[in-house]
Amino acid sequence: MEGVKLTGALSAAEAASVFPPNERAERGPVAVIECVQQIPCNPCEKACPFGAIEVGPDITNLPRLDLDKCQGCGLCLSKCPGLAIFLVDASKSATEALVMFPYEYLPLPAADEIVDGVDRTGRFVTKARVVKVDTGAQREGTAIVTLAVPKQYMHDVRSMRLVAPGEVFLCRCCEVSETEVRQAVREGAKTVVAVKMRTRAGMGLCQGRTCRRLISRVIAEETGQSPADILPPTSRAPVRTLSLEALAGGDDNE
Amino acid sequence: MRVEKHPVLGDRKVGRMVTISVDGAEIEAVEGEPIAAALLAQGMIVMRKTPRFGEPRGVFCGIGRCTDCAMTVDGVPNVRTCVTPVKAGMVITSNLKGGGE
Repeated sequence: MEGVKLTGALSAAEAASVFPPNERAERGPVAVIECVQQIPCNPCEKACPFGAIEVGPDITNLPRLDLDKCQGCGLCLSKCPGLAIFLVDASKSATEALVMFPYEYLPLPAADEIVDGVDRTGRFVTKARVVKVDTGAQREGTAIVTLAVPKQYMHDVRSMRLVAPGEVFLCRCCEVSETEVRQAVREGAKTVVAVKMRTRAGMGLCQGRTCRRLISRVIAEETGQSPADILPPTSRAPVRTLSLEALAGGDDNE
Repeated sequence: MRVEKHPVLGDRKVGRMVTISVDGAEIEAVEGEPIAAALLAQGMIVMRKTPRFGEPRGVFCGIGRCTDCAMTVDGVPNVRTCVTPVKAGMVITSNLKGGGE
């Protein structure tokens, strides 16, 4: 199971289809538009002052980047609502490349801080040095972080992680952290339902819409199985949250 | 702030202005717009606090999935304000107490 449609993250083949040639990155900064799904969206086209990005009148077209027109200014990074545009620059050193990406979390890192560079799925790739954090007014609240990474990871590192992995909430509604879920699995909860019974994960307002997949992934990692082999939680109708009044017919017609 | 010109949806329709009550304060809102839109237009971004740690939450997904914007509307708790249209005279309260673990 891979690909942006199934996992939300580009597969290796999808990512490779949008990489600029290495010679271009060696020559100077260049945008990498990791947009492979035809969705109706075109702010990137207007964001580019050099006319290097073309979507066209049919806004479901994929953006096309003119590698020669692109000056590597990075203005498009904070304009893409999907945060799918990055900048790579392999021209500054023989061993390191710069990777720029939009970052909409807090806290922000400081320059020269060493952080965990992570890939498109959030997995650790390499330690990386923060070169710059741009929070200027033209960024409209989306910070742009520049990391220096070993050159071989130029197309792997796409974000960073500052919060310790275990402190991340898997279940947003009931505020259950990754550490708590892993602990529950190690104590014997090997299914999504068993994790729910121990931690309350999935019992909140959204009824597990977000956390059930994340919990399946943690169980799979802890037990050495494939996420596809983890039994899904019990789902019951209705699919959408309804008030009991709506089910009972309401007060007007009953 | 409201989106006046939308590239796909077109210009914003002029709606009837109504008054709703939010935590005791009377605010102006456009009838039929999502409650969350009316609150954001007033600069109100915290709609509840979380039950366990008492951290602030507001509009996150904006499409009725994440439930972060849930508030009490006319006495009904846990109403997703991003997908619930404004009606004149609505009484809305945020749950700002939260938990304190």
